[in-house]
Amino acid sequence: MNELLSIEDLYLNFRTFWGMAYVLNGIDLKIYKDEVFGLVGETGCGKSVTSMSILRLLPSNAEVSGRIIFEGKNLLELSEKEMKKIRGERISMVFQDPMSSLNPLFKIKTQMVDVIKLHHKISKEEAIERAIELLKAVNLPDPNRILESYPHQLSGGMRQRVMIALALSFNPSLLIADEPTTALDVTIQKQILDLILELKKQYHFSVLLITHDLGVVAETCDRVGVMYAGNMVEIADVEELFENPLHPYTQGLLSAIPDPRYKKPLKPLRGNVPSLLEPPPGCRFHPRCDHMMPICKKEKPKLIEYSKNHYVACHLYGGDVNG
Amino acid sequence: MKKDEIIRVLKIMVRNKLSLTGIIIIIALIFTAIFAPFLAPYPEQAEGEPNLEEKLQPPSSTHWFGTDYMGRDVLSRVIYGARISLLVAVSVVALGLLIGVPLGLLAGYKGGAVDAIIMRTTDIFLSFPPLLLALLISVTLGRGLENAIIALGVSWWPWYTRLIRGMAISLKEKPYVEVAKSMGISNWKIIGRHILPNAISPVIVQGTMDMGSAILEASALSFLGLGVQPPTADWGLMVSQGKDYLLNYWWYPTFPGLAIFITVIAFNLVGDTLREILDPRLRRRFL
Repeated sequence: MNELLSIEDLYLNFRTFWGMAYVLNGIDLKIYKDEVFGLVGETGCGKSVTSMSILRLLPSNAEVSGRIIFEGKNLLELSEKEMKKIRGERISMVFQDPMSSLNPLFKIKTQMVDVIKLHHKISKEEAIERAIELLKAVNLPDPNRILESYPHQLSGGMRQRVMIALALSFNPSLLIADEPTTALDVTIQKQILDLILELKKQYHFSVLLITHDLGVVAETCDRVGVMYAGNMVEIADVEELFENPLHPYTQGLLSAIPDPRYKKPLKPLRGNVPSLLEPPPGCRFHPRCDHMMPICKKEKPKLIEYSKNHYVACHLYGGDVNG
Repeated sequence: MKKDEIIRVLKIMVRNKLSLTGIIIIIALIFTAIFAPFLAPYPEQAEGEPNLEEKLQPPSSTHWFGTDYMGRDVLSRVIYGARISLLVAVSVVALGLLIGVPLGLLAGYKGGAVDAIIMRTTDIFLSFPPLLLALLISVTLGRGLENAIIALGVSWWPWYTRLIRGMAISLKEKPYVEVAKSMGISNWKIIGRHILPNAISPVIVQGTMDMGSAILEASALSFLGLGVQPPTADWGLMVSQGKDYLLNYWWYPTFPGLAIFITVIAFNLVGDTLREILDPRLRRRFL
């Protein structure tokens, strides 16, 4: 399989009023061509900032180090001008909240033509034709009427389809979908996810799907990365992860999913997510872990390949290193 | 905005009774200003010729609005005053917007040092009482209407800068700005397409209301001997001169004052409706 995006040892800190927040603590991640990679974790674990670092859209109080290799280039070293070419043209993004992702003052037509004309040197008429094609591709009926509508005249699902159409306007090779269905109701969720998968087949891009919904992951992803408090704790194929979770945090997550077949009580993880201003030393999960060992307090576990294509960052599985 | 949309906005404005009233008054004012020499019964008195035999006459069939302390026909002078007042109102606000809006956008969107420099400058300007600052600039530049307009415009812009900056700060966090950035749209285009159009509504309202204040402040400058020079007919100047005669000769300051009042109301009516139409979310109320 061909590597499309490779994040190596990505650290990200935010200077804040209360001190330095250590948000990403050495993330490693690879995304291959034509795959759907799911990134799961709870709120605040660094999923979204990971995607924002890829596009280099972080606020000015952020400090980044590490490497983000995309199509052979380190994105962190590109000039702002080169980066603008990457955004939208090679990497597109679909955001969480379709209700406010479109400017309320302009018709869909104006907004789509703006984006399409940005990188293609074509006339307005051609841009409108392209917009109609894109709207057809995302299964929106009556594209001419949609083009003449204002955002508030469309439903959430329709707006998210428009956003996807916009994201596709340059044949990107990577689509980052940051919780694209969180704001939508369940039936629309399914439609939007199916649409993304269908378009992926048609246009041959990879998807980085950010979500906290394990159901969505099971349905759509090929491989999954689990994040906890700024660390990548486990990466595996989706079936492997659900059948054989290795990291105690992943195990905890999975056992916290209610199973309608049995009326057994849920097993929640004890404790709370640590503050990123003063993260626990060593493994950031150790204060909540049932298998805590002395080394967990001292040393950050490395992400190792425990079995084929199954990576985990936990001292339980690094047996040969210092016990 | 496209031509057909402008026509549609105008249609709604005309259908709405309040804004229609405003539009009619403003059109009447513009008409009055242009054709003043033909409308005024005593154009030569409006331009300053005294008529001392008839001074301070109450309203009558020959002088509908009465006469002033030099015997000049108040109606004629009110009609001529429309010229000055409209000119002052529009140019002061336009000048203020021209300086204030770009600076506010820049400060709000860029933040950091740019923001600090621009906002501290507005603080300096705002720390003077507005009239005093205009007075200071006016004195430096010298007498005359143009200098008064420049002085007022230059002391006016910080208000718009503040207003726009606040809007820009909240708007730059909006998801659609984030989306635009993620698609590689340049900062200038984001400011022009997403920040300015969404931030401009309160400024339009503020600007229309300020037209009235601009007329008043310009007249204060005139009263103090800067700005419009007598015997030129100016509403504010007439109110200032007439206020001493209010108790015995009520018509002298009342009619020019009424003219200011009606003008300000008209601009407000139009501005308010315009704001609601410019926002597509409020628009359906008019349909």
